[in-house]
Amino acid sequence: MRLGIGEVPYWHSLQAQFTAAVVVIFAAVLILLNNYPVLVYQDLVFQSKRTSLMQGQASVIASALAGPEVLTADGVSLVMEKLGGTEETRRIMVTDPAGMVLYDSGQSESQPGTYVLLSEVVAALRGQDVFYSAFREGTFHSWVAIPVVYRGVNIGAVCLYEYDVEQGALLLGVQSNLRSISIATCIVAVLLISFFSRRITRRIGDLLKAVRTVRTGEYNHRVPDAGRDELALLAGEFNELTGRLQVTEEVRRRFVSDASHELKTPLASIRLLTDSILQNDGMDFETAMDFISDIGTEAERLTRITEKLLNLTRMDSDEAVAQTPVAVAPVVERVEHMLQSLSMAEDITIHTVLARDCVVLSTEDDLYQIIFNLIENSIKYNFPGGAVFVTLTRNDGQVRLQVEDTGVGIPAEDLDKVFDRFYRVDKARARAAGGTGLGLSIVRDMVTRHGGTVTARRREPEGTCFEVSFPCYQAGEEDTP
Amino acid sequence: MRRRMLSACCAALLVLLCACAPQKPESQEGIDLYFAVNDPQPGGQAVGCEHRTLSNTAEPVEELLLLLFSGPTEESGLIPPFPNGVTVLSWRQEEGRLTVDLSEQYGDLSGIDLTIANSCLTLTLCQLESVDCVSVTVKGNTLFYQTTQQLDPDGLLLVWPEASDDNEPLPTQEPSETPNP
Repeated sequence: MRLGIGEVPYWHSLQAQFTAAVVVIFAAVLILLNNYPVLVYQDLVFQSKRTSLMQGQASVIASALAGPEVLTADGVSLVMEKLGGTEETRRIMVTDPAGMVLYDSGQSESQPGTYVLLSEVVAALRGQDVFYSAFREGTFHSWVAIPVVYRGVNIGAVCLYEYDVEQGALLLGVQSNLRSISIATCIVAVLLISFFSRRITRRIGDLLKAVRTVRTGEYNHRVPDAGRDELALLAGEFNELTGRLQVTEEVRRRFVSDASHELKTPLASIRLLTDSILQNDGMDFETAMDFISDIGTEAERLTRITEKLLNLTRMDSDEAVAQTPVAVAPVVERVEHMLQSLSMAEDITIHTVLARDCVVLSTEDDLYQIIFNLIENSIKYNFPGGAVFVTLTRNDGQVRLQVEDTGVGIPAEDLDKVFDRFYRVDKARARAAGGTGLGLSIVRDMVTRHGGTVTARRREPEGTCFEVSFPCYQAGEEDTP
Repeated sequence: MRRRMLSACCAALLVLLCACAPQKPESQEGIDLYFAVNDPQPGGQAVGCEHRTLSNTAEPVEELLLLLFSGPTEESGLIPPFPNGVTVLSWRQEEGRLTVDLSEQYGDLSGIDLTIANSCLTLTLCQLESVDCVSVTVKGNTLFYQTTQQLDPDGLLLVWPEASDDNEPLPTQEPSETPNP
């Protein structure tokens, strides 16, 4: 049979391995169940025979014979007659010390002078009691040989053989019944194992197919995750993973598209301005200088976008940073000082209320960047004569930094999107203000990296309020991983 | 063609029948030497045999006696049933009866040990076509305590009889492991 690419041969498949393993275990159990009771039964019968023959009849005969100093054929026959007849299923032989048969219940015309050279008889003539039992061809065979001792002298041996067909038939019946039950159970078990193994491996096969489908780029593919077993959980996890892959892929595409667009815009402006300069031979010096100044502005914008993209990429790479306790208030004051010229140029007043005991675990550079972006945003998207309110508080183990402005505000439906990369509420205004659409994305990524949260909400009666929360630093915290 | 094939088949059948026919093994295939079993197991025999090939087919009795009193090989697991130092003084054959005269050490044996030694001699020597029974003397005299002076394989019970399903009379002897005299 020809197999397709990635297909598993049946004998290497999980179904085959599972079925084989269960069948082998099942067969082993059945073999054990078939043999153990039989062996136990055999052992019981052997024990019973040993007791009844060795300690019973053979001992009685040996005691009865231990009268005269020498055993004779006539004497032994007389004793045996007195002891009664022998059952058909038994054969009794009595020998002299040389192993010569003196009496044989199984052979009336025994040849005189027949010698017995069986190991049991020889052992008995050497003074040992011997019992030997075997189950052969549906019959229990038992042999007993014990010495006949008179005044400490071994004067012969009693040998007794018995076969038991009834017990043998009983055992064969049990064996036969067990075999029939085992065969029937085996057939049912194989069918059930095949059914269940097929059911399990089919779901694994579906998962495998789904993995291959997703690998080709079909991120919307899902597998049924009905049920409550591990495979259902695995299918659910697979669907979850695929969903995330789908989202990540969409974000990546949008990001690449947005980044291309953002980079294309200043490049197109630069191209247009240079073409204008080159194609106008008689352009006056002042106009040319204006154009060149615009080219410089666009180039600066390109640089800013590139730097921020690099910054975001660095954060995406998830490199570990060494966190240290940083007092937040001094950082806010430094940012305020740095943005003083911008706020003055935009005619914006910055009001700060800073609690001094606010320490968070972060890096000073990241914290500076977070606060700078938020306050710079509040200045840029404000009205001339407006204000920015920066409040730093500590409460319930949290350090909260609120940056509020009296600007244009953000529509409620856009509040969730302001942290997305290249997202702008008012594109024209943002570009005019020199925004890249990446500042708030950087804020969110940095805050998240240091275990904090950032939210945006409308400020009443006007403007926007950004709130950043960090866990308050506890002494010795930086040592814990 | 068909006649030639029929002839070939008949010849093959004849060869097969000849091969199946019972025969004494003395000259072609060697002979079994009987010794005592070192550690008899339940259900087994007190004597066992090892196969040897005779080199002197002209005087097989002489060679058999020599081999018997040389003892068994180590790997056979058998032991010699005879006392140390026993030698064959003479032997003579009268029709089917072989009389072996042994040195006095043989007289140390009694009881079942004597029976085992006699049985080994009997079972070994009676494989020869010309020997039907064996008689043992010590320095020319019979052992007075020996009940039977003349032994043949029919007088030895080597295997316990077992019952057959149809409850036939129990056989005295199953000669499957004893050579046909």
